Amino acid sequence: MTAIQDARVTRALTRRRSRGVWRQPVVAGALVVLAAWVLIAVLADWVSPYDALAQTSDIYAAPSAQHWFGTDELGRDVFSRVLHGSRLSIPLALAVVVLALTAGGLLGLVAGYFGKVADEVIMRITDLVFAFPQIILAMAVAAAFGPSAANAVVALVLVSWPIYARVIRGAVLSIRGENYLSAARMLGVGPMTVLRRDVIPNSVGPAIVLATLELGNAVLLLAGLSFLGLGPRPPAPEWGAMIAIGATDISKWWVSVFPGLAILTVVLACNVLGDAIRDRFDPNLTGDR
Amino acid sequence: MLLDVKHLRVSLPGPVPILTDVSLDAGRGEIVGIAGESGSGKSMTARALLGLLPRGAEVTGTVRFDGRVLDRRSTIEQRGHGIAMVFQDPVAALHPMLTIGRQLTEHMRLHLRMSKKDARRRALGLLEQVRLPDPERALRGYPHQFSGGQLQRIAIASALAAEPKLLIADEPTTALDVTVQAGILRLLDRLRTEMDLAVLFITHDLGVLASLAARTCVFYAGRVVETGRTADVLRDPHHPYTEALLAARDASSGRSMPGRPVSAADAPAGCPFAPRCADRRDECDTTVPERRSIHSGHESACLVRTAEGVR
Amino acid sequence: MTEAVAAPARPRVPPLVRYLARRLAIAVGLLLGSTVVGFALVQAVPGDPVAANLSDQALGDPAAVAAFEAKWGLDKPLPVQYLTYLGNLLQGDLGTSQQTGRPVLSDLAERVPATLELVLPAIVLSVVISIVVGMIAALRHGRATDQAVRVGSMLGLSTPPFWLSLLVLYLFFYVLGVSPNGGRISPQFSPPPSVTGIYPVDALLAGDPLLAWDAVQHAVLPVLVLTVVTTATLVRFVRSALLEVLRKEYIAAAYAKGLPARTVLFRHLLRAGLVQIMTMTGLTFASMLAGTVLIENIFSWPGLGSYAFTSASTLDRPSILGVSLFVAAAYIVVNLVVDLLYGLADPRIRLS
Repeated sequence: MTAIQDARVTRALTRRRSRGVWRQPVVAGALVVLAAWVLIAVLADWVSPYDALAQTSDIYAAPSAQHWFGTDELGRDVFSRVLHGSRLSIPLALAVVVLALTAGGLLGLVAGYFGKVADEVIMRITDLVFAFPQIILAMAVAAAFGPSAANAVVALVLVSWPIYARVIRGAVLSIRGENYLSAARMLGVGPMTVLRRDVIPNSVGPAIVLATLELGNAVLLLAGLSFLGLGPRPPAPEWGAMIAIGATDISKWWVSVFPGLAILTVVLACNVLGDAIRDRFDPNLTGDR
Repeated sequence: MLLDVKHLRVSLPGPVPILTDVSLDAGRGEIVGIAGESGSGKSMTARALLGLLPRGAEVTGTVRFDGRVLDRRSTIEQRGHGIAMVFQDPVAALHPMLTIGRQLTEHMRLHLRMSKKDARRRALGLLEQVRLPDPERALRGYPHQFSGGQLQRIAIASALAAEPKLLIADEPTTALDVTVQAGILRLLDRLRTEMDLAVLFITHDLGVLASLAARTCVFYAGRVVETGRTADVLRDPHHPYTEALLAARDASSGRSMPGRPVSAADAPAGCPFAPRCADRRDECDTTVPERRSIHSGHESACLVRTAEGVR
Repeated sequence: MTEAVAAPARPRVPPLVRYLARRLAIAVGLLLGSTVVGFALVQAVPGDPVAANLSDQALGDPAAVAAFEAKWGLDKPLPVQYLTYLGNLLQGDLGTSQQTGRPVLSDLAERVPATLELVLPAIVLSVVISIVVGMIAALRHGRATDQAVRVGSMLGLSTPPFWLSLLVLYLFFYVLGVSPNGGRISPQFSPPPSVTGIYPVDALLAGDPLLAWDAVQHAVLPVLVLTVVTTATLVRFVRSALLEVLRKEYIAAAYAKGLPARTVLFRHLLRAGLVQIMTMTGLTFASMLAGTVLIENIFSWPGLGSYAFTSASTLDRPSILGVSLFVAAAYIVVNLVVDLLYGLADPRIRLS
């Protein structure tokens, strides 16, 4: 089939089917969920029925009208804690993504634009980091620096920057091939200007797509680290840590189930949105994670 | 007539029309040319004949092959054995990880119920027939070890493997070097006589058909606008589109057609070529021209130019 | 038209060997690099390595302290320390674990099979299920089945594995009572004599089918969770790899030859997608090793994952290092094996 026919046919086939059904209600739902969580994070103090840190004598109470999600081992209201948990998970995950994007993006830019030695060195380092599964490396780093929210973020940034570097480098390389760049250079435009004016704006697209895809992963990893005790210290109401405590007595299911549901909804929403954004803007990016 | 297609219409869900009215025929031992630009529907016709349309495609009209009318099931049954196809890009049409031998014999053994040994021997014979050097070694080789021209010969051999009566060649030389093209064309002509094969030769290059095809159909926007003996169509074109196509080919004239080729989906009401036609009249925008006979065998679908030959 | 068939001219070294040699060199490079990273990590851990590694009793003994310092070259400059460390490493000495007091190497020898007992069945199941489901989804692209697969896999990879483990344990142990509450075997049994370290296998070898069955029962839930989480990721890759192949002309050509769907799917489609699928499987294996960190904890499974976890939380430097290096090495080796299979499967690499 020729290109014209191919495009038409594809459009005809996808118009009402996969794109239509998959995208509209589900993506809208994901946006709503994410927006809701952000609102909760902002308004947590006002929306929570109880103080997230207030301990009572009503230990391990099952879900009821007074405590929708029950209470934990120290009598704290699980519902309030879950709501407040968003104040940790969401900003921390965002921090990870933003920092990793900046660091990785810069390195990818350097590698792609200046090439040669810089490219070789940076690529070998990314290979090396890729050789370690993320959670292991993050664990090791977080353990080395001591458990805290900040260190968890640092550990995750160290573990995630390579993917950004790779993708940005790829984007830069494909732009470098464009003729208008060499034309600009021939006219005497300096490398810095070309970078600023042409290369960076064009790399932003893939970067955004990747960042949204990675957001969900960051939330999961963060929860994993705090589950292992390597994240924000107690009594901070971090979801992962709450699940860890709930694991000590599984008959009190509400202590673990609700934080887990919180993680699930946030990560799912991020992933759905990330997928949709990727489908819209750059289908070739990561080959459908 | 081995193949007789009448008023074939194909559309995709949407509805997106692909072919709006295609009628053609081909007999044994003859090469029929199908000429048109991108989007004219020529490749889709080939796929329709083999039942290779995308899912959800609606097909109406009649296709008569070898005496019987084909429905969906019998179309599928005819694949390889009754009707075979040679694709445009031989590099893409052969599986990179299977040996040539395997790709030649798998359908052969299926349709002709041959043993491995017999199939291999027949495959060797086919490779010789298409004049591929060192057939023994070729059987053991993989596609990436051959050149484009060689691969197309192999593809032709593969198409012939299950003894088809009709061979559809979809732009078989477009992806090849000019120097290699002539050889492929000669090959097809020889096979036509040697095996009494009917061939539908799809191309965008009218010149190629001059020496190869006995009859030619000109496609535009999903319908056949002119058909007849190749010599007649090329020397005495009646449809404005055919005329413009031939003129555009003529490099020295420097004339090119205004506008861009249109697919069935984008076709305006009335005559699809009207917007680009120098002879356009008001009625052309509202009425779809039927194919009318100019003289025996030569038909053209134009309101303005009637059998009396208004020019 | 007399181009000769491209004869594979006799190269001095067959292309496959050259390809492998290059991959091997890269693997070795990565392994060395990992040791550097590991070494750097250990240096970053705060605290006195002597105090961290020796027992209180040994700390009081100056000779023991001196011996330790000499062995690891603690008084020498960093690069020398690294080389000493590397030397010790090559001799199989990974240091002594703080938590167990035993050489890290023997800890690993005990823990790794326990994890393999989970990872091996999970990987086989994941690959098989992913290929089947991925193929179905690719063939029914855009339709209800495909949507369901996409949604399902989304759910699977958005779920925290440790949470899923808890849910599953709660459901099958606490509510339904059909599953044991973690551990590798029930308390009334004792482990079989160690041959492979994998309990069901060893139990059968020792002629104790009851024990083997008990061990299997304990492994069911963790394997289930591991499979679900891994399949969720893998099926997306298989689906997209197959979708790409489906677009290729040679698939249409295969149908055009009149080959039955069965043949086209298995001989043509799968074989073409196999390469990408194999690559993904390699990556999956190693990331599974990592995933066990979060899962073993819940199931009280004494494998590599929980070892890694306790090492991290107790800041047991030699152990952290040992685990990280082992996992990195496993990752690199598995990828090397995948590269080898890839080279064998794709004739373009094997022969060109």
